[in-house]
Amino acid sequence: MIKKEAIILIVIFLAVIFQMSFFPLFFSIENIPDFISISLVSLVVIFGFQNVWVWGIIAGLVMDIFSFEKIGISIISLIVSCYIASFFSRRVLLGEKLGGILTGILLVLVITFFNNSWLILADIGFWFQEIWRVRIFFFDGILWKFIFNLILFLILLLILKKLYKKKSSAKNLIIGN
Amino acid sequence: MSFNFFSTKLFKVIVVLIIAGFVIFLNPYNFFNPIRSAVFTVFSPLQKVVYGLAFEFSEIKKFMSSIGQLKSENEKLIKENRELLAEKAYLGEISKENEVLREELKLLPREKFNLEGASVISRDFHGQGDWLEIDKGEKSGIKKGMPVIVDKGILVGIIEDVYRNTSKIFLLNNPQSVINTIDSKTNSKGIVKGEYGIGVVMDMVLQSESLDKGDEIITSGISNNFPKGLLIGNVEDVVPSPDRLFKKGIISSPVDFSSLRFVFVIKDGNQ
Repeated sequence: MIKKEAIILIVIFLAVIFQMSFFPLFFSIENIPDFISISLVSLVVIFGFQNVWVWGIIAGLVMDIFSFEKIGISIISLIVSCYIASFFSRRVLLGEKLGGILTGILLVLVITFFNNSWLILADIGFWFQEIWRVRIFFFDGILWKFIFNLILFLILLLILKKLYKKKSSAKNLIIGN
Repeated sequence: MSFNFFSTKLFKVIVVLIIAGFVIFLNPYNFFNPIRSAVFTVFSPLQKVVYGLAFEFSEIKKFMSSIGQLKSENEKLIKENRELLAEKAYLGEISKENEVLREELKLLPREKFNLEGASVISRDFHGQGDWLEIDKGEKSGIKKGMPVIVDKGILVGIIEDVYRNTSKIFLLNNPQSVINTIDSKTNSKGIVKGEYGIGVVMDMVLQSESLDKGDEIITSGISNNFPKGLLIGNVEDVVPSPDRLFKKGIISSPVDFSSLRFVFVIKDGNQ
């Protein structure tokens, strides 16, 4: 059990390093996909909120440490993302094909919008009067960010579903609660 | 089956939000620095490798999307252009220096900079892309406030936080980086800082002073640690401040902040 948790912890550290040292060189600053957040959202969709939320807090803590943010900023961003995802998870997996896809798209859109708003607010020190100055930058990038996040979400969901099916072929998928 | 609110998702989320909000509100920024320093010490070599790999991949990507040789020629020209811009700024300053008593200006000879070369290991991935992390820290003699340059004297930022083996740099487009500057042609004084949604601006230039498009902006040497004559960029546009008391120049830097891999920290700018 401890071994499994240690592995997850290492994966979180690696994922955060990947997010901070790899992605920024491939995307312009406003388009960088939310790798950590989308990964957690995918995990919530497959395994459910109750199995993922603690890892969300840990991932947020690691992100705050690496990104020089005040501790708590990313924790809030990730835990809220997990919570939002838990509402959509059943529909993403159980809905009809088109319904499931549309719900997935809506989920990624909401997550992208929330993360962008929250992190920009944190970046300007919650100085709400300044938000209008960032608006141009904010809306310029959000469309591409959403598209990249959506692609990432679909890839991760596909991989996680396959992995989970392989592991529990006899059982049905656990649907997020 | 009875409903227990304390085991619901909502309760857990609320508790986490309250605790995290409390930590954000009460916790001073530097409280977690020892933990950060330890984490960076362990992970900075890995970050350096990952960043290096990403840089190489991104170079390949750029290369593939360009037309063969044009790419390398372009890079060479950009590099030469940067060097020439820095050189021009430097020479311009030297000629003025000769005109207005060399003794008084005391420009720091560039070859006497005590530079510490460093690799970029991570960068801002949200917000404005206005900070970088480098693989040199306290151990290499880096201190808060030291200027960071590329090539031959083009300023890119200031050291903000220093840990044992890593440091955080505020780039020029960071609203918290403020540098005293002058227009190398007209000698108009102002401060260069980052501004949300714009990038780099030269602010607080008196209306009576001259600031024109294309002018080179260099460090004035007034700020602590900052030698005079480091190139910041060229004036792209000039606008009045909202109160019309000052002018504001929008500055274009010759450096693309998003593709920096190596930088140099000036350790003794005041010599």
